[in-house]
Amino acid sequence: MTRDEQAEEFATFVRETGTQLHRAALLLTGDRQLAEDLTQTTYAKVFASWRRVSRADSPLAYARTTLLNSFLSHRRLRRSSELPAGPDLGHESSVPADDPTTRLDLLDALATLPPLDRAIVALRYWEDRSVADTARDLDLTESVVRTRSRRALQRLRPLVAAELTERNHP
Amino acid sequence: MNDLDPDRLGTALHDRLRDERPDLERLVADATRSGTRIRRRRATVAALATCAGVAAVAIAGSQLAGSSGTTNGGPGFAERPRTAEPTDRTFTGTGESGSGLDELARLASEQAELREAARDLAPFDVTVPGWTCDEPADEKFGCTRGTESLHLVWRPAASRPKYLGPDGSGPGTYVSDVHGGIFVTVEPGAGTSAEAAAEVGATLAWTDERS
Repeated sequence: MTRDEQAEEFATFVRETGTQLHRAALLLTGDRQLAEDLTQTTYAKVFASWRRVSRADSPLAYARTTLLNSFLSHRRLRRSSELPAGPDLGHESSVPADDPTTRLDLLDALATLPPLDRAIVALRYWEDRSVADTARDLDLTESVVRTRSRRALQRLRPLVAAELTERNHP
Repeated sequence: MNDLDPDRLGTALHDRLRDERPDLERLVADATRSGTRIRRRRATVAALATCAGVAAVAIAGSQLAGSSGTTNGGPGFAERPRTAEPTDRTFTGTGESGSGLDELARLASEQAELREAARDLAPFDVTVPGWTCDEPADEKFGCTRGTESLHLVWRPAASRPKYLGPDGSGPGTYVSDVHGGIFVTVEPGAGTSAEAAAEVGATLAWTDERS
């Protein structure tokens, strides 16, 4: 296969999967610009290894794993260079998760979760992956995935329950 | 609703993202360009690794050649009958040691050229006293000064208006002018001032303008 043919094959792959991956990136980052950067970084890595990736059983699964790893490693890098700014350590956002009157957009609510929990929520409830698949994708045990899923849902509940109720019963 | 039903959450997430559509053609173009740079960098790193491997073998070889005289005379080793060795062989050994040093010098020169090539992957230089910058990774790299940190990214010119808008970039981010179809953002990390980002941003020097 020539380089031009490889590039064309890759372009077709991006056109077919780009929307799905961009949306997953948006769930993870909660920010359009960061999501664009993350998606572009992911596809750049995929393109760099395209000859091998294109022969894989599921190039999309490879791209999704690359997206998750890029997101989590970027967060680790940023965190290692960041200085603690206050007593709110361990929280991704200062939104009070236990205030039932707080009403947030879903993406804002997700942004209150730690990055790994966000990745688990994206895989489990957006990609509809099983606990076992999610554990494999993130190199975690199934019990960790279950525990973190439950904790994430508990934290999201007061933030988004009202919105979901209104959406379903306007 | 008293509980957050996972099924309902999944549906809500899909509803929320239904209208989100990236510019796929731009994504193809940007990813291909960045991916090509990654390939080039991998090739550079592979060449450097090869050079390092060859250099290690050459050093080991020259050390073995240099130490052969002492091992012959060391305890526990039977001394070889020097008289049995042909004279020209001794001179050949000395010659190999000399060419090994020449080879090391050549490899060091090649490595310097390759390092220069790796630096050229970035379309600009940053030279601000006190700041230490990493080698570029993808289209970005970081600079640090003590506990301060900056995140530099070069981007296609088409996306610059977004970075100039109120929601485009983080607080204190420096946005450079466009040069050759790209521009640079300098984002301050935690504990780093906007002035520091602007100071570093003001020293950006495009590599194609280097004399």
